[in-house]
Amino acid sequence: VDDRPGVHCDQYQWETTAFVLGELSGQSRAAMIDHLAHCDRCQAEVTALTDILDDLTGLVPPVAPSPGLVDRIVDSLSLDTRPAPATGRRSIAPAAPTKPARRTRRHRAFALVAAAAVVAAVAGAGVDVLRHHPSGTAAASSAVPAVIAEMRTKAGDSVGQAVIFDQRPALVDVALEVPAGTTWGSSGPYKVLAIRRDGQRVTLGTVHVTRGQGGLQTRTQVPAADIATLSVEAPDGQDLCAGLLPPLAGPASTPAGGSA
Amino acid sequence: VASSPDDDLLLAGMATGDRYAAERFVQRHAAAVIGVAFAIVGDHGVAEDVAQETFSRAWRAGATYDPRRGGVRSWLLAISRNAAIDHVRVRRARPLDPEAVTALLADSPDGGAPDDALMADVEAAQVRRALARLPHEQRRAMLLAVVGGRTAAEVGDIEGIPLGTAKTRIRTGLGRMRATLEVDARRG
Repeated sequence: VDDRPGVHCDQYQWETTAFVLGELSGQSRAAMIDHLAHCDRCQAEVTALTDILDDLTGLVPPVAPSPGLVDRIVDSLSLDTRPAPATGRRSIAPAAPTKPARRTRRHRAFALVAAAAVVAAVAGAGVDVLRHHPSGTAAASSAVPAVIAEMRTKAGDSVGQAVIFDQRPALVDVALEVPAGTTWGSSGPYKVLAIRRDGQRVTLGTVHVTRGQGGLQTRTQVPAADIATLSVEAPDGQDLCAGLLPPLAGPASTPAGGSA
Repeated sequence: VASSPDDDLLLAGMATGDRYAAERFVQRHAAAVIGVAFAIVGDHGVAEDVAQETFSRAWRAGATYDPRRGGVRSWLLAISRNAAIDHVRVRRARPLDPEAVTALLADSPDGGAPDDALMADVEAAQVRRALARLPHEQRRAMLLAVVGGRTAAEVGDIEGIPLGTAKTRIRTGLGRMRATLEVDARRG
């Protein structure tokens, strides 16, 4: 249970459901991620709800693909940019159990933005997502350090938050909440970039902003500690907002099961 | 949601650019992925576009997929659901008719969909039984949110009920499903 002052799980009764359903965005999503990192009870609730979601989704009748669709999909993959080299990639053998027992399986990898935090916690590792700070805050000590930074426009207005979990690969979550009337508040796609401390720019993905809200969750081979800034760019290269990330306190290789 | 024994191997192969693995993987899961997308977008052509996006996302993420976190199929269907919701919300596409959404899973407990062959039969039957035990209005609200990808506000509009009532129905429906399935699991 999240025992930080002023925080009560009752505040999150609907939010856990909304989080699993994908309804949360912007500040509310960032707040939920922060809470999950501190609350075993809500982590368990999210995991259980995700299982139910998986069960129901699995019952949806299949729809046969049109002739040639499979080839078109495979061809389209070949045309895309090849994923990053598999440095440190998991071993593909032996195969993992394909169907963990009901109620014991973990939630899927990418469907939930808090995947890294939740899974690490379930596995016994400590998780420490720090409270955000105007200029970003580094973890003091944790098994899975993370930083949360405000995304700000050049004028200094806050338009969301970014969270980076220092795992390998790093888990990045950008949640934007753009005030009404902002020119880029309902459009996209906008490019999300990680700017390394050596100045190198790495594209992480794209984000659409709909009715002022948008988000991107992805993993990157760029070590979390190497990311100095997360930036969101318009198609013409104009910087829309950015979040400054301070150096992390510890290496990603901090052993799991350390102090929580 | 059941995965085949070598799903994670095919996914890993696809992530490294192995065309044969990619073809096997896409062939195996395309119909289920399109089905989940169709339940949200309500158009076969658009559902296929979403399927293409789904496999593209899976391909990009495949190198980092961790098999300990659950089945590949569940993971893939979750990507499909999210991609379809993105499509509806970003492009303001017209989603599937609410009656059609609830009818998708309105089969009797033993009237399983063809995809059940790919799931653990016992578990699929348990889920259908739990679904059948829900009060009608909770089942509708929950299926509109989970399968139809509708927000609580949209569920409220469709059902003609206040937002708070819609949230309660969705949340209570999921809670009852969870409780029923946990009891079934304890009974073995």
